[in-house]
Amino acid sequence: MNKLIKGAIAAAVGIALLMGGASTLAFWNDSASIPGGTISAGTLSIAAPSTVPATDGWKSGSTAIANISSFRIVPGDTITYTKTFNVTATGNNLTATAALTGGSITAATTGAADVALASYLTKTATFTVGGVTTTTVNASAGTQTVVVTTSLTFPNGTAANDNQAKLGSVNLAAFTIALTQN
Amino acid sequence: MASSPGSFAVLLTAVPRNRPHVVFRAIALVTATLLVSILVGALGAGGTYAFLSASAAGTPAATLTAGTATLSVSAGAQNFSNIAPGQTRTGLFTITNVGDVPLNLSISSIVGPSTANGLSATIGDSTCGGTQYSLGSFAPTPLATGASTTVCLTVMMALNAPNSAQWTSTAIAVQILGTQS
Repeated sequence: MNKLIKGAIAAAVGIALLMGGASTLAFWNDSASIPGGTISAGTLSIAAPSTVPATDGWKSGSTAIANISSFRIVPGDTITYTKTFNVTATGNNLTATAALTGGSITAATTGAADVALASYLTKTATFTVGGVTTTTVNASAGTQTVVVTTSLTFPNGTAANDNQAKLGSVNLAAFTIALTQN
Repeated sequence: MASSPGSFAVLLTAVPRNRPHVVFRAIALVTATLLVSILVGALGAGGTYAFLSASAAGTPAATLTAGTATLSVSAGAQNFSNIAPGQTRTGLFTITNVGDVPLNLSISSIVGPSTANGLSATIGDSTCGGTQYSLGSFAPTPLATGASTTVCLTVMMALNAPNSAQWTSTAIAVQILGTQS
């Protein structure tokens, strides 16, 4: 056993002895409790209002579409679907982003016209939160009104291509509006 | 070899020389294990980085159908029989937009008349004597959905029509093109 190891052992024993006697080095002390409290979590929810606003529904331009199944979309058309939601966003540091998710535009059949129409239609969505165009939802007392406008566009293309979609049909699966905390 | 003192001495000096490497390897192994454990734990616990979310249906499921662009043509009063050199025959045709979009009309082609039969043909308004349209243009435009317009097909036989044209019949085809306006 060399000197270094011997020295280390001696030091360790010394420290152990000192620590063992620490309890004898009494000093004044006191304690107090921190008062507890109730911590509540925030929430984020979205739901359609019980009374549907008159502005909701399908439109072609500013003209309401009574029955989307009877509407015939043609090149150059953009139709919109507006839906109003009540959003509850509670949380001191809560912000969330709204987005259009899921859903799809699929050909009703494997027919050429249906497939062509499905390939030409495009979709976009805009959001207004409290009347302001934005996708950001901030925490607020009570409920906020979020209006989602989903647009479907049949863009003008070439006659040769657009003619392929004449009388084609597509199935619109329900698009989902998702709010996700940032 | 075991009986060799030289070999024994070599073994004694070899142990302390290798010890730092062994210790280093052990430390490295423990460190790597800890890192892997932390990484695996973090990845495995990824789902615990939860955040609030909510969703609702933004559009209802529906079927959307495209419209069409379609013209129909119906014949009105016709008088195309027994034409002779220098004479003119006319016939009325009604063009109706039965599609879903307004259409700009134009004349794509007039097929049939030739020097062999001595015939020429034009498309004009319903008066059969007023405005004559040339290929590629038409009036009125655009033709609204459900609307109709009547045109007159005027066929003339030239004075110098060949004798071979006698007792012949000629099919005259006019193609009208409607393009979405």
